[in-house]
Amino acid sequence: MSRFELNRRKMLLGLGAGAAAAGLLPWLDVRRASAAGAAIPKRLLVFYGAGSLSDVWRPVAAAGNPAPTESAWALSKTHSALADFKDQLIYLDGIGMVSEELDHNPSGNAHDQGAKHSLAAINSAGTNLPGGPSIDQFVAQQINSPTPLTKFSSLLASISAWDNGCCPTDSSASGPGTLLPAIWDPRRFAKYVFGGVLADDGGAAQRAKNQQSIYTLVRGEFSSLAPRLPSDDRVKLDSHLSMLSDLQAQLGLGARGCQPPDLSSFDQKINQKCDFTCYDSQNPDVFARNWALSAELNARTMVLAMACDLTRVGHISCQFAADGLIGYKGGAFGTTDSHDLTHKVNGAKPVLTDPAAFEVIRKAVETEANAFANLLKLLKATPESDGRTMLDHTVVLWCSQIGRGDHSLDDLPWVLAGGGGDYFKTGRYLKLPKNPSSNRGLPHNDLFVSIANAMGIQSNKFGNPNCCNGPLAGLKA
Amino acid sequence: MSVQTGLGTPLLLAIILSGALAACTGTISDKGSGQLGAGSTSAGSGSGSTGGSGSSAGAGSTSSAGAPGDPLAVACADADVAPDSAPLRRLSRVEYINSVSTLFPNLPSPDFSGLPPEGQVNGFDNNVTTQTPSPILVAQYQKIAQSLGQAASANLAKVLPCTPASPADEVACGTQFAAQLVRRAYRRPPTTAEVKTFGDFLATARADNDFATAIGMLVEATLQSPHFLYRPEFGTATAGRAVTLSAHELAARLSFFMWEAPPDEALSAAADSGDLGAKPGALAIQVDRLLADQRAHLAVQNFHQQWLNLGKFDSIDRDRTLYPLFDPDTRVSMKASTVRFLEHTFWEGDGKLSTLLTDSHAYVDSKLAPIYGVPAPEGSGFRYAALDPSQRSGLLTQAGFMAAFAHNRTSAPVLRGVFVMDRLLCAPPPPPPKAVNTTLAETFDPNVPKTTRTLVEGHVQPACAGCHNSIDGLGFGFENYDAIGAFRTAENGLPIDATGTINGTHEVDGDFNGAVALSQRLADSDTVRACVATEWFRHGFGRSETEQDKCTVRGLTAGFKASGDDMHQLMKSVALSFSFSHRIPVVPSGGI
Repeated sequence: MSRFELNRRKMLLGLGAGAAAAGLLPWLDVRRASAAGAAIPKRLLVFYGAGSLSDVWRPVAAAGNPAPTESAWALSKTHSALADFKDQLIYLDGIGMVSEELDHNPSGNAHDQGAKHSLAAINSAGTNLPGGPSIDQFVAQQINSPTPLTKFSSLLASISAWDNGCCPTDSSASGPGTLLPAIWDPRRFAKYVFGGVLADDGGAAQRAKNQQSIYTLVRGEFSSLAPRLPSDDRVKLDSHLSMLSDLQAQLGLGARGCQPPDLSSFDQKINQKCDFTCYDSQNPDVFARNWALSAELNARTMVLAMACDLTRVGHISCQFAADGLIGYKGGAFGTTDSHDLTHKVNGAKPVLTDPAAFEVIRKAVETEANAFANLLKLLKATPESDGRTMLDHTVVLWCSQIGRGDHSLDDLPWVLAGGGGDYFKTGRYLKLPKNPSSNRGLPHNDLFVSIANAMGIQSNKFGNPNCCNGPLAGLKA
Repeated sequence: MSVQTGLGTPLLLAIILSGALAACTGTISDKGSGQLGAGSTSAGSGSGSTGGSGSSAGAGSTSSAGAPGDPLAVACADADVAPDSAPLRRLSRVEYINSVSTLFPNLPSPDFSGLPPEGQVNGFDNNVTTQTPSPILVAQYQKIAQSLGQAASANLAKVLPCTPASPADEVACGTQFAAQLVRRAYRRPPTTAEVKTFGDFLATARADNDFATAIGMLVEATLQSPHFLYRPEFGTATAGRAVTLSAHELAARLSFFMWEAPPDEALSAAADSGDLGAKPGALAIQVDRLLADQRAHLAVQNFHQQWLNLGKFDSIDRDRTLYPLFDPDTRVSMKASTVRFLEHTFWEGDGKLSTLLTDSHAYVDSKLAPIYGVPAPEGSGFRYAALDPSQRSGLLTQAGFMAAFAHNRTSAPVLRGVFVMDRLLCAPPPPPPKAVNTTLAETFDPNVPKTTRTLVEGHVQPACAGCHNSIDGLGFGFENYDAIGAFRTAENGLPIDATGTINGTHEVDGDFNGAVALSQRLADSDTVRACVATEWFRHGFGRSETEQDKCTVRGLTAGFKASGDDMHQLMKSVALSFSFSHRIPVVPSGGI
């Protein structure tokens, strides 16, 4: 067994043990590790946050310097949990949601407007729906076409403190108007990802044959019905059949080198009365525990799914931080809830200047930063066959639907992490020039072009072509 | 296996976002185009006939948002009453669960919890624009189909209509089962080709497996067929600009509308006989029968939940210091009370919209009694209590509604006004422009007491006044109710001013004082009648109304008014309307 195999095996065992936890059983068979010489897959992981406060997001001057520069900078106090990954980050200061400005069918609410443009960057499809595929789904579709590479073309999870009926996501779309759902319940997410990974009891071949027969019959039903329908309706059936075909093709694309975790152990972790079932903002402990459980367990499942090559594209969205999570009490500082408080402490003209009020929201940002750091920690703990880590080979985008508390959609507080296999030059604070045509930030379309390129997709455009100048200058290594 | 109501919980996000609607100058609506009274572009004129359901009637429209014209004032010729698009509908989550449960009543219920929630348009979760497939949905369909296939294999006696005495009997028995299963799953008789396809499939499956496994495979395939998961409609004979739905297509529309479940044997038999939709009165008989069935209760309840956004009750929370009467159980009582009131009014009472909006009774339990200021019932249940009619008038003045549209510490006139405009006038105001500062100009300084009304009035910028005159004019009328819906005459030691102004209804515009007067005014409004008719149309057709549909909605409105605001009659009118039994001609996409 090579040194790498040992490392990787040790790490996967560690993931299980650390999840104590999460209760993931050890991953016993790491066959992929022995595939020496095989290309290391690139992954894209979108961490979709709730927004940030630019003042606590922006890097600060390195010791001895008057101001942060591209190479000499320090993390803000709020982002201090990211210290271990500083060399693998790019802070993008000056990205704007230019596509939303050009949208002739804008939402009236900046949250909706930001959500539908955040990852799709194209004129909307009405009713607060994105007008095209989001960058994560675009990449998933491209790399899984024409033949699926992985069991799941993408996986979507969300972090929530309570079963608030979440889903679908407001940002990840497979096409115009087609938002995709995410799974927030850690048990359900793990079951969805690993539930189909069954040990072979000897009947697998016959089951596969039966499954093919069933698929063939159903495909015939779709194929005979589709031409009889108007073209608009046919799109739905074609899309459905395509997903069904993916499922069929993915039958043989199980977890490579992995055994399924013991899902019952999630129940042991999630065993308190109020875990994910109670809504009681007066009980901050419940909120904090639920949010942390959801963040921790879903991140583990996502990273394990990627480590087992069950998917190469992930999307994790944070539901808005619960009041209780950050110690917010109803009515504090004359506000109605933490969302209201955010409006009042942040923006061009903050109404509330009480440092204590600001601190409450800062904690929310910090909580999200900590969750993001934990995700990077898991990626960095997963060794690859070249002696580096999964983080080195992954493109991680920490983004959100909104800029500041006053609903600005400019100056987006976004961060890239991971090098995408040395595609990006990381460890930098990039203060980008203003878009000369609008005096706004550079279009986030260009960032998405860069991400697509990093994932091996050759394109100069993404989303609204009128917002595209090509890949974002200065990102590449 | 039980039938589901599919009542969901709300998005916390939606609650948060709704809180941002505190100012507006925007011009954007996220609603469908051509809504009655919601800013259609052509001005209505003339006076139309006011026929009953499905007859010729016109729908008013208006030239400015928030100022609809008379919804009954525009004429519609017979030829104008025609359905607009009929996009392919997928079974909604509830329809799917009920369909599966109906197909296999004797099998253990599969785990439906992994099905993703539906998106919502206009509050409804069956809108066709959100019914695009997703990988999770397709995977869940497969998983549930596999689960039921295995269950069928393990319980042959519970699913088969026959018992094969020998292997030689299996083919005949399996073929009989296949024909029955496909007939019920597809909601129509199978074609000859389908019979052959499934027969061949069964024979091949049996050749490789035991009989039970082959039956399970048949179940698994059927449940993933597009004929089961979707509701394709092709129509038959041409009728003007439309085509008449086939009897089986009409039966499916009807049962999914009235029950959110597939046709039962009696309805299927009516379709099989060809009477449904062809024989005069046959459809009406089925409509009456379905409405009288208990399954209609669940469907009506689901409609009310979505139309009235009752999911918002699930996340009501209040500052316990200011509102010691409130705890998490209170919101449960609030929702149960309002749901019970809706059921009572619709099914046990006179079924009139006006009663819904003006009845001063409420269902009260130990949690709600102190809020309403009435004695609590003995025991743990609810009692139907008469409340002070000078304080309470119908649904809008119930504690739950007032609490659902309030903040943690204060009432929320803006949220309340927006709700009335959105769900009762079908004239949702545009959200505030994205750059507007929605922060109230003043915070709650205990040394300078103010009323909520004063604070709201103070923050509205001149540019926002256009919308807020309409929103706040309605919302201020509810200021007699605090954040848990208790009646009050003073706030922070200052007297409550609950005067308001209705704008944009055409016929009941003007000043009023208090929510009792407002509710009565709304109950008298044709705009409200048109809106309720519109909401039933949206739910029944699974899409937003368009300009092409205005005469259909106009007819529903006129019939609704003529019936004395009878909500049963309105529901029946939707089912009996011309548009309900017709669709636009299909232009096949062709090819393979």
